[in-house]
Amino acid sequence: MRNITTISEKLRPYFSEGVRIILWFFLVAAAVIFIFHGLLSVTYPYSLDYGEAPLIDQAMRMAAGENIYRPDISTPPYTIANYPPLYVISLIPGLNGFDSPYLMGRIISLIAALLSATFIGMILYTFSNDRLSSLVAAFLFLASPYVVQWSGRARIDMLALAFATAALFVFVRWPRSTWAWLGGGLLLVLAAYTRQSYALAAPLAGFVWLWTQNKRRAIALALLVGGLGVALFFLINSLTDGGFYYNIVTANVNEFGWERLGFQLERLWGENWIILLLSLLFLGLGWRSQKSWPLLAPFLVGAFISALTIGKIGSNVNYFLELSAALAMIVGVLFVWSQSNAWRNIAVIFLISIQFGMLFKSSMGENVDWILGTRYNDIDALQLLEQDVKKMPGPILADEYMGMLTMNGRPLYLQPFEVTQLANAGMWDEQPLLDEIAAQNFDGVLIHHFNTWPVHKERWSPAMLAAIDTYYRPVKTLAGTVVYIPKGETTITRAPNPAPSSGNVTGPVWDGQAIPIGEAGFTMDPAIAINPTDPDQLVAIATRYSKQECELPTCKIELAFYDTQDGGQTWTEAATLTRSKQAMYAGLVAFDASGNLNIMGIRQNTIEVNQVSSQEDYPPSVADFVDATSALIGARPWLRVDPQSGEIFLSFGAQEGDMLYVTPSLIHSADGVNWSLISRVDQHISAADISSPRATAPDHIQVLFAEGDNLSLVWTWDSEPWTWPRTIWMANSSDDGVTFGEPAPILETWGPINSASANGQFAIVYRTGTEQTQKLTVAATSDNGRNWTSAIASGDVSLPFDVNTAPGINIAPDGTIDLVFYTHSSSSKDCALDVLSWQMLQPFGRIDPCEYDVFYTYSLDSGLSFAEPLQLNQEPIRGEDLARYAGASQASAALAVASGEEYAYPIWIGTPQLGKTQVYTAKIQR
Amino acid sequence: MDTLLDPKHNPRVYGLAYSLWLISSILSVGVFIAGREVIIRTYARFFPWDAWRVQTGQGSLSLINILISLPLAIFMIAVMIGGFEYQHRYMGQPSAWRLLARILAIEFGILLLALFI
Repeated sequence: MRNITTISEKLRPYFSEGVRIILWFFLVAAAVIFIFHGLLSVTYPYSLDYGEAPLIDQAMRMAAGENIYRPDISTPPYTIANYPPLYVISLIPGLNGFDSPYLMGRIISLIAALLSATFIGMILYTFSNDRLSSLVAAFLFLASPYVVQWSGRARIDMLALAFATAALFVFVRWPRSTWAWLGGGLLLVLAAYTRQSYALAAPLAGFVWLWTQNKRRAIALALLVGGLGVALFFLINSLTDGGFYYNIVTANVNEFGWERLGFQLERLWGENWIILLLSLLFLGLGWRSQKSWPLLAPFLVGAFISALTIGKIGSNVNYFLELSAALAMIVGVLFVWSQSNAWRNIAVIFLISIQFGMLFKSSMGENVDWILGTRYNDIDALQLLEQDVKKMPGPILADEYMGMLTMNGRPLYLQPFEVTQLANAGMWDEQPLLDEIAAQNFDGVLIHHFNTWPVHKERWSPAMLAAIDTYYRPVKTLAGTVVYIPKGETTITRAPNPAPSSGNVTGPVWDGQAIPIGEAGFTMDPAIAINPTDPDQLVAIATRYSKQECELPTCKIELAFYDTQDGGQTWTEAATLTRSKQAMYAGLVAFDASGNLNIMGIRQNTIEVNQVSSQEDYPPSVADFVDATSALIGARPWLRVDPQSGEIFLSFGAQEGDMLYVTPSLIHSADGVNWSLISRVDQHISAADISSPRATAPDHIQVLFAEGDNLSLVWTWDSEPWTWPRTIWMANSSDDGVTFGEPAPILETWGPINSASANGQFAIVYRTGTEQTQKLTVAATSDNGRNWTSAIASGDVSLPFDVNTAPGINIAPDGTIDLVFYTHSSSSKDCALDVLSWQMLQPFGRIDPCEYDVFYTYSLDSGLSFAEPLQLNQEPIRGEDLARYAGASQASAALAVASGEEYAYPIWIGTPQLGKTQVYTAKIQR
Repeated sequence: MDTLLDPKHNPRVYGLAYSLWLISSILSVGVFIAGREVIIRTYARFFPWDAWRVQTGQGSLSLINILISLPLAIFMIAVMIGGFEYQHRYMGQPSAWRLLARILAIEFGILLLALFI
């Protein structure tokens, strides 16, 4: 035992010095992170947070002599000044002195954070006379991710905290001075008049501390802070006709959510559990030995109670700032306390170092990678957005980037979050604003999306969002922000709700034999076409992997081309379209009216087309494919042939402006070699937003042919990122697709769509229903979207949420609409995803555990009524047998059907044996 | 009562000193790798737009790589060669143990930091 003690004594100085060296690394790292983050935040030219712009706006109004605390916001501007005026006043001198109005506000916050850290350190030094513990407390405060984040924001909190910590320092440094309580008291009033919630923790701590020193001074402090605070309140309130109370109290009572509180407390615990435990230890035991206990314990308790209001909707980590200060000071005290025992001191220093590390991890992940990284990545897009805002001279409604207005000296018209909360609480009538939206009084509306989490629904009331959807249209996205402009005149109308299939349609005639095309393998994405000049000739194409578990470069991806000359009875693989070391996929086939065959495929993001116009060109060869465009990005392209002109059309998501935007686009060619310029629809989705993921990519972009030079483009896209249901859009062209009119929303779908056109009639198949149960519906129009019919086509077959494979649809020359679709087998309902789980799986995919059935139906009356669906597969189609890429099952993007006068040929992928797929068709007589 | 850390030249002292030197030498390689990675990673996280330019031969990342690799390499060599030399010369002396403790603390500090940043 004595030996151990001796060794311990010998080792102690080495460990003691060593652990201090380790601590210094963390102190330096804390300083580096704080400084870099602070500099990058302060110099960032645009707003970093929703709450910055309203404060700048208030400073602008105040500088112009306006009352920022209006007692009534029934007339515009619909703005709220949530906080007392001190910080706003401090912004006024710098309003015109800097290029960015945020610079002054952020510098104030940064300096205030440093001052707070200084006061924290000085409080500790006053208690302990120990420099290292003071440094540890100050740097632990600066290392807090909440402090790091908020010290670079033009927000009120850091200034309020600086006043509060300064007051505590004054009380601690001169506890018996006659004037200290007065100075400290005034600082507490300043803190409370910077942020009203600071009227709790620091005054409580100051009062209890002074009570232990001099009871009369404590009472005097209470009278000073309470009296002056209340007197100022009544003064300002009377000067503003009650507006001060309305703005900083009434309008601040937002909905409280326990779930939100739980989430934030869980986060607090995860990032600070070491210092929280140490603080509990201090709270429970410190009163016996620590002279700082009467100051720090009430401060900790008050700060924690104040932090609990983080459960309010819209709250952020600024509610943890006082708590961070309290925890930092307590850790400093414990550091000093531990010095009485060397090994205890070593353990405490080591734990503090680990705590520093945990704070760094959080700070680097959230503040640097997530917030600063995203904002800096967005700078180019924000510059474009600012240009757009400058081009709109009238009022603009905005949320996250309302600062675009303030930084150009324009007042805010609306603070959507604040008034939405008031409207939700029944304390504000939003009808006048809705009327203004309906009157299209605003040049634009900017609604921001961070990711798939619908924050915009907290910021905008349902009525506001509905009004914006009705009277405005999304024209572009930039930096996660959807830019809406007023809708113009359009002849396109919304399709009605689907009617039940009317009338009795005779069931199709089929011998029940599915016809295999080619050999079983690893195929997907089947397509089929019938030669209009020779109905016995059909061709099909499918993407094929060389093995079930495919991943480049060890797997070959090619197109298998099949044909039949006997009306679909026997099929042969006429060609394998493959390129050495390059994938070729997403094949489509289409005949023109003269019987010329067009084949499309994708090779390395380049769309290639092969026009087989003579017998010599047949069977097609990969060497005859010609590059059509490399502008493809995102959506799968579609190949269609204008039945009147014979021109080939490719519709796809095309990049625009050096990969800045993706637009629903179109190119066409008469010979498959020379292609037109890209014509675009006026809906520009930021490519960066799609990958963020802050915007949905336009998808299912398809062209529909009307009479003459009229054609339409339909596609799916929704302003809400990566979710379902999505809006189906339509834009018309009267010059053969050279230019397009204004896009208009026509429908909403719960899944991928498909469409077909013939003889001027359009048919669009989509999904209606709910997230759980859906029906396949066909909307039809024969006048370019002026009038629509809509009927349920899937009969009694119910479809769960499944966005993998679009149904196949076609219109025969006689107007018969053919439809083929997958749905989950009756035994396979539990595997269906919902929107949330789909969003989570989206980046990785999964091995499909579901089983599917495939159905065919048709309509003889332009989509008013459909036959009861006919099941085409005998055995369920097993998702786990589908080919996989990078470990995820690859469902086909769409099914297809070839429509002849007499027969329909639906095509689908089946799973005849374990781990293999097979392309099938069926010859069905209607 | 003598202990292992007393300044006496016996095989146990030699064994301990050289073992600790060996550990510090091995850790110095880890410090070179981790320290360089921490600094480059932190730089890339704060200034990703500049870090990406390294692909086109632009930006400061290459320079930073050189600037941090040099002192880290010097540290590694100093620990390996200088550390051995010092231990050999001052075997069992308090200054030798103190140097070992400081080196190991620096190494643990950098490696620990790399776990979080």
